[in-house]
Amino acid sequence: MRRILPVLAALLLTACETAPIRPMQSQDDTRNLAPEEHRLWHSAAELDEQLEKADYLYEDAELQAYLKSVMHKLYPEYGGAITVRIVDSPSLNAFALPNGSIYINTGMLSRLDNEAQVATVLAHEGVHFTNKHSWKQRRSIKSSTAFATGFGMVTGIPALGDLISLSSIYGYSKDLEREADAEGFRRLQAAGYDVSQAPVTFEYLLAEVEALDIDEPYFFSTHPALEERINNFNELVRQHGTTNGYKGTEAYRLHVDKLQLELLADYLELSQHESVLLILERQDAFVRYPPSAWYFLGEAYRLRNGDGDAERAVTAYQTAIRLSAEFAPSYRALGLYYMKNNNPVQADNYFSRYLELQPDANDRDYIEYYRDSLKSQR
Amino acid sequence: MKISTGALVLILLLLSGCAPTWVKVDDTGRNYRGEHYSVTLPTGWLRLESDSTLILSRDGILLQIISIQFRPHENTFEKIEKDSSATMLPSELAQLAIAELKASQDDGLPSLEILRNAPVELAGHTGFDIHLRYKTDAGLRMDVEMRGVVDGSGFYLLKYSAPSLHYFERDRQTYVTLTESLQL
Repeated sequence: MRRILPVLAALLLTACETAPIRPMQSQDDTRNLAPEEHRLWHSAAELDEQLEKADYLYEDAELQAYLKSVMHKLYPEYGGAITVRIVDSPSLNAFALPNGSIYINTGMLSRLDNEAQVATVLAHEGVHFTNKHSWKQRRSIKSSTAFATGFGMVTGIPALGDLISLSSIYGYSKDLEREADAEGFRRLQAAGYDVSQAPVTFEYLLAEVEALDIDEPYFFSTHPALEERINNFNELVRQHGTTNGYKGTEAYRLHVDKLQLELLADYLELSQHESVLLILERQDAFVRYPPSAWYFLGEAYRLRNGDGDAERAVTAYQTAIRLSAEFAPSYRALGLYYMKNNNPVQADNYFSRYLELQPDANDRDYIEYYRDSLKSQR
Repeated sequence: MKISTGALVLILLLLSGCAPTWVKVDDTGRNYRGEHYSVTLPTGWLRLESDSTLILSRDGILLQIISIQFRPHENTFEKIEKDSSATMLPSELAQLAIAELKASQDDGLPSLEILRNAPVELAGHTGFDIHLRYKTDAGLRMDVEMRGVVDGSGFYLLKYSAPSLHYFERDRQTYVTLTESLQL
């Protein structure tokens, strides 16, 4: 209750404030906050702290530095006032807090193809911060419990999962989103990016949302929001034309390679094999992913377990071995397949190679147990 | 806020208005025989029984909870829509049990660490033995151990969960002894 009282008081006070909200122009403006805005920043900082404390963040210093450099290209006059953090979550999401903390999920990063696309998302989110959209929205819907809850205003310490989804699902009004698209687009162009990538960024996400029938309440996972982004950006490209801007495919891949594979593993760990299939059955998947991704494709077939999937899985594992001979999990997968199909000799050969390549495998005990039990069958 | 399975079962039972009561396990009630399994319960602990789950705690479910569950093969892992089968390998079962645990939380438990995942003999069958650790939203570290096995009838899951600090180690042996007494 001690946490709630000051918040309720703050909400009452802010109801009386009606001065116009003007966008920031540079980092200097972050030092002169109105009392209401100051409180909003304080709540956002608390959320930053909670996210960090609960291990929600994906730690990759190089990737974070890379995203920071992209943000700096887009918003050079803000110096370090806008921060980018990565949330360790497979959901397709990104969101901005009122204090300039921008969060982008690993799920979103893994789906993008190049730097121009990630810049599109960051530029859009950056406008929500510079143009004080949280504050504007809060004024217009200050009676909404959902919004208040979204920023931890009512419950004090809300569940972080809920908080993340609320602050992002809620998104902003159509007008504010359109403003973020238009100004984000201008930032993209000014930074020298290939603006034709802006609509493409959301086209693939929309295709995935439709194919998987995703009903997550995330802003970037909803049909209307994605369609709106695509339409807005197509219109902006039509009005302003495309340029031979920077796409940054190689630079981007270099930074997200590791994350992409980790995410495939996460999907499989959650038994979300449909996501893996959708990603890896794309025509250009293996241009974007390293050869070891064939193993993940095999695992997705195995988990789907439909007609012909066992054969598809074996072909995928074998392809992984052919193209990435040192990648150990493919050998384990074939060992398990042959063990289940009563071929103890083949099974043992693959298990043996697996343990050779990965002597400290975390499932070594299982593999050794399987090898022992195979001895009696030989 | 993360709610353990045991707490959730308890809440649902209370809401349904047909809440069974906690019963203290004494020497005469130690040998529990259910429809699908039998097990020796720890004396002095409290026991709560619902349709498919037996819950045990000594000081309250927030401090330590042991649960035993039988699930038929069909839709065994409801959260991830997966069945089990009598021919499933212990490592495959373990993979599904972890997936279900992660899927039971909105955030997918990003702080989850797998400290041990190995085969174990359980009631004459080979099953899995997993030790996990995660942090709650409030920053509290929780340790969880799960042992599971399949037979022709279904999947059996024994789970022990307690705060890492002080409680987990204190009651772990009680859980291990209980799992060793399982008979199908």
